Amino acid sequence: MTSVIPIPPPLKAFFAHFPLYVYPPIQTRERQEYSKFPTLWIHPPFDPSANLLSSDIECLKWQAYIALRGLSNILVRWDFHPDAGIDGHLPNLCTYSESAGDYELLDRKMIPGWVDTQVSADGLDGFNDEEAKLESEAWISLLEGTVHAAVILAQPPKSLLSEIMSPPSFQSPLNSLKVIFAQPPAPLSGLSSILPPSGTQVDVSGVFAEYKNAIVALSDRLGEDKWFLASSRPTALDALVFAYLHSILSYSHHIRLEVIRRANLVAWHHRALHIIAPCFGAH
Amino acid sequence: MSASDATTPAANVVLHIWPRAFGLASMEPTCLAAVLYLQLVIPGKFTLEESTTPDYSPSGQLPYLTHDLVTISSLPGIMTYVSGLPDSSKLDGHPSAKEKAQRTAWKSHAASTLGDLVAYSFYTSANYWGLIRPTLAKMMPIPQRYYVPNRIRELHKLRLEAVGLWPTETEEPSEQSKLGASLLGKQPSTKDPKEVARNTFALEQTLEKARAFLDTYTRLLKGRMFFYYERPSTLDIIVAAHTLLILSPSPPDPVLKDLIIESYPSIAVHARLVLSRAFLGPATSPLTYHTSSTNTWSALIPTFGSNTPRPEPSEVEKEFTNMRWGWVGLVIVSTIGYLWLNPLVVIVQVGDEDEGVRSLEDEEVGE
Repeated sequence: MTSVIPIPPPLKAFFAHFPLYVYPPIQTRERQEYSKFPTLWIHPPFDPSANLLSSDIECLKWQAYIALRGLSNILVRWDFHPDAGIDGHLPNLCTYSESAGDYELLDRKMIPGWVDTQVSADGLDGFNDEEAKLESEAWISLLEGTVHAAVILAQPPKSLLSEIMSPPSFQSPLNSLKVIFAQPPAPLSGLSSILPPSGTQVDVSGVFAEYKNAIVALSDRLGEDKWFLASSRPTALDALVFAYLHSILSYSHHIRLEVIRRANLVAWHHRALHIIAPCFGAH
Repeated sequence: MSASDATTPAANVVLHIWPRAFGLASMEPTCLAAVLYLQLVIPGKFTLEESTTPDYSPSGQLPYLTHDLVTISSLPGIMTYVSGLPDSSKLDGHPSAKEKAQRTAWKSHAASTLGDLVAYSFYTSANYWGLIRPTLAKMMPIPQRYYVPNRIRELHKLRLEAVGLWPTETEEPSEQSKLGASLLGKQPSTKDPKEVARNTFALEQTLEKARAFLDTYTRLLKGRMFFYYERPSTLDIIVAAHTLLILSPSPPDPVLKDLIIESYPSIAVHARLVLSRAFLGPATSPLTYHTSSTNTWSALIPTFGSNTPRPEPSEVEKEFTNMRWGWVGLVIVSTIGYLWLNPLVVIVQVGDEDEGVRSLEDEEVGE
């Protein structure tokens, strides 16, 4: 132990009776179970026996992105609480680097960068030209607006018992109806009323009518193409579309009827599922 | 063409919107887009009603349209309904399925991205306290003008925070109580230099996002007058309505307005062109207004969404409701009957004094 002020010898002899031992850190059981393969931490899947695709749209979107970029042999685990992730969000990617000899946890925003290091990338991200890349922004905002609102309204309500018994779960702020629309919905107790604003008042039939138009538009744009916007290889837009279609088809609610009526969307989803699902293995 | 002309069927079309401000027909982008749409599609055959209580609408938001007994709310619903009216002109032509799909996506993109930019230019601190709150307060009647503008701002704040456009400032008033200050419309006190530095960084990020959105629309416009044809289409109307609400007011902090005027003049020109086509074209007529006498104090009573259209109950449901009320009636009748027949409650009639005395005498005599 270095010290600026030299310790006088009698004090040093006294301190020698009380030595300081430093032990190596004890890893938690979860940390001991990290594997050397890249692992994605996600929300639990719909049906672990069928495939390992998450029930949360954000996690599923990134799973689809990683798989469609051509990577495989990615492990997934869903035993972590969302608070364990960076910023309290899942999905996170846990990678092991040989050079550093240590694990690294990546936020979802850093996943495309990591994928680019594993697989080569081109400037247009797989789109045919600049026009297509521009148009993909419009489709992304349509999906994340209208279709996301319909998916939130279609989620099965949790029973009272499960809500009381389970610990308060982290709800991603983007999963709330209050922030999806640019014109925010009015509170249920009325904007001008004497009560403080609480609840959300949403015109459910209006949302579902717009959702129907959105699905028709999506199906018309896909037409007979292999990937959206007639790209030669899958893009980030395809990952997002797959995430929404898979979630819609997994709920037993009438919004899946709209998708089932469009045969080309069902066929596209089926083909994409067979590409994406085998890329993941359980931890 | 006045509101009392009941012979023309389409004259009963009444559009309820936020009131006018900044020289435009409405101060809210979707309301303004609805006005522009109606003016281009059924000019002169509708009336406007300015309202500051969106609680009466089926979805809780303005704009909403009433046509005789039908009520439609939200801009896409209004556009679909009005384009189906008998003597309306068609703005969108006959696009192919693929083009129609692309336009749907672009309309949704325009409404959300430009809507966020309008909300940013209205509800951030300097502009809200300097321009928007006084404007809103002047429009509203006495009880609402003190608390409704702040509520509207809170709603928009949630969305802007989620999107990343809300500047990270803390508004802690120093001595005055928060409630008193906000009621009187006083802005919270100034911030320290660290906050100012953080705000400048947030402003740069906002400008980056705004530039990305406006670049998209400039490239989509490709130097033409309108997006698709030689006349405005629905996408033109939506983009122009939002742009006009950024350009027309004179806010204390005109960041976005200056950005559009200096760097994206084609979008500003496009917005003015759409406005002139709507109001100065050959087939247009001036806007007519209709005033209703709703009691403003009744707006204080919460509605809890009772105006939303509920589906007609089916036969089975009606039968169940009748049976339920029948059971309640049976319970009440049988409870009263039980209490009457079993003397839990006895109603005793007390006779008069002579009868009581006579019976005693009879008894004495009888002995």
